[in-house]
Amino acid sequence: MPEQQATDDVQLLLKAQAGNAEAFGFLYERYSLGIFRFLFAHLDDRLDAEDLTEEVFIRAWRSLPNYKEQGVPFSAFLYRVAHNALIDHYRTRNHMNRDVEIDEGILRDIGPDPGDLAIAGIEAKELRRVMQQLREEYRTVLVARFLNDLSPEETAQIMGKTVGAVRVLQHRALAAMRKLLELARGRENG
Amino acid sequence: MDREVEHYDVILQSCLEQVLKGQETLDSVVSRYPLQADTLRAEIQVALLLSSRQAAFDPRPGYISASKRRLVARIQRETARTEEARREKVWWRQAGLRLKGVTMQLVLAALLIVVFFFTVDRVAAASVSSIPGDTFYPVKTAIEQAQLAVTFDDARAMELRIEFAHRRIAEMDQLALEGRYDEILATSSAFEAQIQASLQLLAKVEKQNPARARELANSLQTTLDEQANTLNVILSIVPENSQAGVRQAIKATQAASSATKKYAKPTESPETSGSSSPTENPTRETGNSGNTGVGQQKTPEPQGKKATPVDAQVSVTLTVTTTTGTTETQASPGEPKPSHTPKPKNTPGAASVSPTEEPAPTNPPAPTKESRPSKTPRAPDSIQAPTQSDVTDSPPGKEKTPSPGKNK
Repeated sequence: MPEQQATDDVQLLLKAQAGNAEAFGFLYERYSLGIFRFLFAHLDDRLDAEDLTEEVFIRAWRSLPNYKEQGVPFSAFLYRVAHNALIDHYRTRNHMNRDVEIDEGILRDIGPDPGDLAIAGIEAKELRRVMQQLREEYRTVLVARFLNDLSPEETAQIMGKTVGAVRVLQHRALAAMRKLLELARGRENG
Repeated sequence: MDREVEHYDVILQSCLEQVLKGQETLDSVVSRYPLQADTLRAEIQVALLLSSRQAAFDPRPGYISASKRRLVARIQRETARTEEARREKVWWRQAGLRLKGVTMQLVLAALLIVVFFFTVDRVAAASVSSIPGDTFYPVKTAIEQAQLAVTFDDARAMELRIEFAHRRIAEMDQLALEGRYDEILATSSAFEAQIQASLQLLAKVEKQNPARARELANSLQTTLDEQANTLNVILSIVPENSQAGVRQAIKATQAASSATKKYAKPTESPETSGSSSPTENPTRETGNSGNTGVGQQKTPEPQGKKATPVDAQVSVTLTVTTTTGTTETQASPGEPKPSHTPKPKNTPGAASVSPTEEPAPTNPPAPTKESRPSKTPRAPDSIQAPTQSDVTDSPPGKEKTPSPGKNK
């Protein structure tokens, strides 16, 4: 995150903590897209993701008095809130997280040559369906790193892991994603 | 291991950026890393897919701006509701506190009343023996004022005034003994005020009830006599530069004594003698009227009453006072044979003559034990005159012994 933006965040946060709703609105503008993508990657419904995004920020607003930036940037704080909101959403909706752990061994057996994998034609819907099949940690790291363009350090802060762990996780998440995409492609062709 | 992973991630990221920017193709970037080519290619493809498919995870167009407006409005509504709830809570809390406060106030008031009545007695008791300059002296005078305020009968009010005048003399006496001469003048003025008020009340009572007025006049006269004696003694104690207040009081006594005479009547009749002569009843608080002592005709010693060697006492007193060598002393008692004695029991300012003592004209003048005014309610460390002994209550020699339970 650029330093200027970090400074702006601090000032907006201070104003928001003082009760300035407009200041919090600016923070919403800055971070709502990433939160939405994160939530949407975990949910199978866009409207649910939109509702939950607003809910996340409402929760963040209510938690503002307790928020103190002590090494945890506001973005990481938001993602934590979003993660908790997601869990509550699953519980409320009785929505079982189809977080099926992909057996990477099986994928290796049936996976085609990666070089020949034509995944460019995969539709968005398919992509989201494949994402749904990943483990939550994989989903999170992929959303953070490649959908929201967060650095490994920022991703580490969001996930509460070390940067090295995030990189390893990313590596595995990409591999798993690839396998699932190939499987999906294979089903289409097949 | 971490370093290898980090290195790999850096390569991946670098290749991804170059491809996304269109600077290189997937094949060209992968070819630079032949050892990781297969893995790198696969992962770059997925990463490219995700990066290029961000829109697949985007909200509907216009969502951000619309949701921002909704969010801000909702926050503002919530804030307003919270503030209103807080104000209501504050109001309720205040009301509750007020309500609680009312109950608390009642409880506190009840407690205060209990404490008040518990302590007021002690404070009042402490104030009785206080003299000007003491902490509780204002309480004493306040109680006196309160007593007067609730006394609507002129005769009773006059009795109170006489008692208060007597107290002022006793205070002057104690002040002189303690060497607190500064307060004597003010106390003398207070004494004079009481005397003057007594005379005014006497005039009123005389119009309402002449007989009663005569009784009160006799009582006042007796008091004035006693006070004169005491004042003379005080005069002998205080230094010259502090005698002004005492002389002022003596003059007031003399003037009042003269003024009282017109209300008093000779009381030689049995009725008057029987009606509680002060000689028979040394206690002052009864306010018994009786024959006037000095300057008046005397009643014969009553029969069957508590006999006290009144004459002897008075004669001793006279002797003492006359030997002080002051004109006032001569003037005030004047009579060689007073028939009334000062009542030692409640007369801290009375001429201190022990009724149990044999009259001894040769007794030295003040400051002797006999001439020294008795000190009634003072603390035990003050000088106690023998006249304090309870002449009227028990025969001489039979002192009250403290009960075993009292001593620790």
